[in-house]
Amino acid sequence: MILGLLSAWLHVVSLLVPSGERARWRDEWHADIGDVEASGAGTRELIGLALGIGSAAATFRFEGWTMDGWMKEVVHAVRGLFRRPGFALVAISTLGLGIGANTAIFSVVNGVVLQPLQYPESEGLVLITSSFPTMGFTDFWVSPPEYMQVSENIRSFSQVGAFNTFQASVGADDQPVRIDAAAVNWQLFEVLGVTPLLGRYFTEAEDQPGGPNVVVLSHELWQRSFGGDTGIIGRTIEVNGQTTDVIGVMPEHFDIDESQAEIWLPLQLDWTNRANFGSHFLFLVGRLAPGATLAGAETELQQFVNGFQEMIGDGHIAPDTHPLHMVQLQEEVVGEIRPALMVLLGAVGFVLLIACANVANLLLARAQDRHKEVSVRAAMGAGHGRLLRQFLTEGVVLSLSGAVLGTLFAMGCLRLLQAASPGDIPRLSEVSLDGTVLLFTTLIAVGTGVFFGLAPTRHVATDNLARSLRDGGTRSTSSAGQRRLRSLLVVSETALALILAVGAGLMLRSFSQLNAVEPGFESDGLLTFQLFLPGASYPDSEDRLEFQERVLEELRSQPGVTAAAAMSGLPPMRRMVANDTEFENFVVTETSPPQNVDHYQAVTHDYVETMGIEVVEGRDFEPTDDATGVPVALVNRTLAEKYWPGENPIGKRLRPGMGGPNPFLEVVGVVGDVKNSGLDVEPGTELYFHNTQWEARGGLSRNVNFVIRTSGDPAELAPAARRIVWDRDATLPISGLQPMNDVMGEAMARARFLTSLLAAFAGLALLLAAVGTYGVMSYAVTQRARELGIRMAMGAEASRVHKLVLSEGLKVAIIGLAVGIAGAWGLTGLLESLLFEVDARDPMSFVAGPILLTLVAVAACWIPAHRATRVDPVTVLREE
Amino acid sequence: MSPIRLTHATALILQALSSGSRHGFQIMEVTGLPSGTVYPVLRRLEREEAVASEWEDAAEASAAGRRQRRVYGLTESGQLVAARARERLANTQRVLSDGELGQLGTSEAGS
Repeated sequence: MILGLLSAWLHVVSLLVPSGERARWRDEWHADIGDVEASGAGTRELIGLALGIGSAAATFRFEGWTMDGWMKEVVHAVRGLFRRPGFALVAISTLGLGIGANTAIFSVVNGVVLQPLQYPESEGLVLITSSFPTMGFTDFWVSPPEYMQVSENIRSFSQVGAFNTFQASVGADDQPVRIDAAAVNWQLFEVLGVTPLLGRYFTEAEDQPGGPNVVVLSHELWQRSFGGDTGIIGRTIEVNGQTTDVIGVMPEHFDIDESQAEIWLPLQLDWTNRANFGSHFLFLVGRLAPGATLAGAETELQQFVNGFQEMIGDGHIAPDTHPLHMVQLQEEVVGEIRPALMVLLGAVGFVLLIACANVANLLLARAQDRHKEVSVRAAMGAGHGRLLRQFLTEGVVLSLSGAVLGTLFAMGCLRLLQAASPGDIPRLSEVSLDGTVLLFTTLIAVGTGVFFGLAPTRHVATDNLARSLRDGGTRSTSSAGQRRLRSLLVVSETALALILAVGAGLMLRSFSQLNAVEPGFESDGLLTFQLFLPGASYPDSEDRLEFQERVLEELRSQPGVTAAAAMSGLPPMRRMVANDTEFENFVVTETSPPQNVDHYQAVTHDYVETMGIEVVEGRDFEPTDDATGVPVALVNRTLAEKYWPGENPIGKRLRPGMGGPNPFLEVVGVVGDVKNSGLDVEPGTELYFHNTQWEARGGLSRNVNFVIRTSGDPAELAPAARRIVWDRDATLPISGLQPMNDVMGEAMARARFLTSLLAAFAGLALLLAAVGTYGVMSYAVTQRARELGIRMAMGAEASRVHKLVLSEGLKVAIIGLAVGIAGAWGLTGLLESLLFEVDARDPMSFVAGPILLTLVAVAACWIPAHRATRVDPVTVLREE
Repeated sequence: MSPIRLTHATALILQALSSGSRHGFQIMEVTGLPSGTVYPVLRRLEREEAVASEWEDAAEASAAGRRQRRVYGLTESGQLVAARARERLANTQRVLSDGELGQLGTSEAGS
């Protein structure tokens, strides 16, 4: 690929070399590039060589030219642009759009996907996870004893650290806030190799069970809540109600596997307890030992899994039931977003190509118009070199103006992207405008400008001056070759624009499918918020239940509120926690599903009604289903169909955990499925507990979500909700206080972001293609004014002339459409992983795209065709 | 023939050619000069007839599985210029290491 580009580059720059020596230097440079490549040089060296060759070629051409002469040319060129402001405006803004959009998107791709993570020698970092293939759990946590075995036995890693993530309440100012937090061990900081900005991270001694309360802050939290006070080290803050010493502040953007934690607490694992293999809650990050390779570590990890039973005498880790996996940390962080960004990069690349095609077209048309000017100047004695210099300067001035505009546009785009993007695109905040790509796109643009800018001088070179002058210069006709070239440019831009339009159509269809997903509840008119009830203030379940009930009662008494409930998890974006669950009298067969439920939900008795979830069979919870009542449960439809197909689920019994002293729960109702793991994911199985019974059997819900249904605007209820909570306990941080529809919006944020970007690029492409087609058609009409005039003089009707012009324009467009459809058919497969319930060959998009493009082409040809009918035969013939 | 402009780059390239370098890539590698400097100097030297060039044997290139290289060599007058250049480089070397300039260089490097 790079050699192909270099070869193209050599052909372009060798045009600068005086024609007598051109072939010789081109061949010599080809040979030298071949030698450099064969010497094992990298892309950077090759690009350096190519740029040097360009500079040498320019030296050959401009040998002996003085700066003074150049300045005159620049002034002349700028004046020329001002004389034709329409042309200049279209050409410069087209180039600016192409350069700007590409630079912005490539900067994002480069910063997010290509640049290594911001850890020293980050390519040696891997994430280690586990899975339970028989239950369908991938990217699962690792238990502490598993971690200790990995850490002690796998030689390919110099060190392995561990972490888990959660939410914590931090008392920063007068109101505590709820933030993302991570518990990490001291080894993890060593593995990552990042030095704190201030202070230090945990010592081994602090990372022991019962160790001191210490915390390391993120740069962002330190700035936001402590005003960047460098005296923060040694001060104390409240974390989850505990007084904790601040010992360090990490550098800006420091993060572990996109956990977005704002504080890090010591994990304090008990290294003497090797028993509980089944308690999985850690993710591991390992660093390759010096000399170790990824492949080697992978093999060693597999051998460790295979030999685990033999080595440890415990079959918990096994290749078929519970293997461990590793993936390079960079891949883990950016792997998921990569396809989407690559699609965007491809899309802006198309926009740049269309922009270049347009500028080429404009310059070609203009060259034709300047035929006479060139001929006259040549006849007056301007040498070939002089004319070349003039047009070259004009091309460069034009392209550089486009590049300046493009840079401004790119800076704006990048800001906009960062502001508009959903929070889940990793590393986006680190992205800055990329100088290399700006240079690259500018070179392409300048190359286009210069190459096509030189077109007028071809007449001089072919020595056709006499004929040009003889023609009197009233008109100039383009050669068949030039007409073909222009048609080819229109065909290409139509095809490229169509591919983008089809792609955008697919994304839009996918987005509307996502929008149409039934979440399983009525999200309109719901307000929601989350509280964390700390153990210090709410030690017993009675305290927690009492508090919830009081808050709910007051919420229900607000004007407009029709219902209010509390629950442990907030749909539709909950983390899946696979819960072992015993089904009474369950017959285990080869094909039976594992006894495990994806989501537990502990709710107050009126949850189902408040959310507007459908009761399919049996009954809803009732107030009497409390701690003193018979233990009951609701299940969702998916659970009932999965475990009791064809049977009546009412009266069936199940219980959390396998065995144990807790009584079975009796299923009293089946409710509709609610989306829990994202709108684009199957709902999974769900088991509902009544919250008083849940607490009574030892379940612990410190995180409580509230939902309130109101007949008015839920946003207006927010201040009242905040007041009600803080009237009862002013130390509680309230998080996620927002209408449920906003929560739904967040679940679709990434899809919306990608769809709107792709649609914007497709729109831009359509606009550019329309401008291009219009330019070419309009020019063709000018060129054929005489012929059309004669036709009209001979009695051709206006409508026939109109049709003639229109059909010629459309002929070209239709070839472009055919090429575009073929291209889209081949390329939309790349979108497959981004689409939700839409086939990559979706007929609707493949029909709508071409129709749209046809309409654009008709519109672009219509005006020139109309103008053709207004040609006055007398004027045209008189000009002869 | 006008006297040859003996810039630092020209001197280095002449030296490279007289010590056996034969084509563009080799000259760049030996002198450490960028391509944007090497080619214009070669072209100038060739015009000034200090250097002559020709294509290498096609059979040799295809046997080595590469494109034909342009091979450069010093003409007789080129050899004279190269000798002058060598002299000049040696002078530079001497001034830098022995003279006051040399001491200046060391004391700066040491500070």
